[in-house]
Amino acid sequence: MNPIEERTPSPRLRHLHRYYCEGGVALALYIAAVVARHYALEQGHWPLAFSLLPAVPVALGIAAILRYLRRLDELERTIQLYAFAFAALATAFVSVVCGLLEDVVIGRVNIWIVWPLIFGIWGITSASLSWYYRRGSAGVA
Amino acid sequence: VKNRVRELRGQSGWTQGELADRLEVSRQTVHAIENGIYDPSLPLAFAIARLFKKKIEEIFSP
Repeated sequence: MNPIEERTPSPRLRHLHRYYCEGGVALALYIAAVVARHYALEQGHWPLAFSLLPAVPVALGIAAILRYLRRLDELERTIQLYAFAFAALATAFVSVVCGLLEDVVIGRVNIWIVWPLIFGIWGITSASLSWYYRRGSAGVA
Repeated sequence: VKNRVRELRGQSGWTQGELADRLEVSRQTVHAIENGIYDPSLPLAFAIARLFKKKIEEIFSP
């Protein structure tokens, strides 16, 4: 590899950097929107508009994830899409179970459980699959 | 599918990371291909063959 190539970050690193930037901006905007929503609702300003305000940066975050998925290589995309499918189906299964148990055992389940559940399962599944594809890597250059 | 990617990479003196950068894929993908854990798509197999200046059937075999 020539010196110019050594100094230039690989396309993959640039993609990751871009994803962190986009995700970071979305997260910062989300925090700002939640704070603005809190104060605006206290003052009674435009309750509907300010209630939904944090949804805008959430949509930006989702768009950043979709762009990141599009830039992944074929194996990484396979891993991430399988992990996401598994997370979505597992969350759907949990929601059905909670629905069946509602009013009998556990009472009303907060819908906010979906967000951490789907991302948590997605993360664990993608980490497990990545480990599967990295197995036997000891001693490899 | 068996392949000679590790052998050809060794002959070229590249690390997995350098080959990954040349193919614009992750090191994990190169590792998985070399170890036969993952079979590359046809476009990636052609890219590998082009990089090593070989025919695709000289690198990959059933």
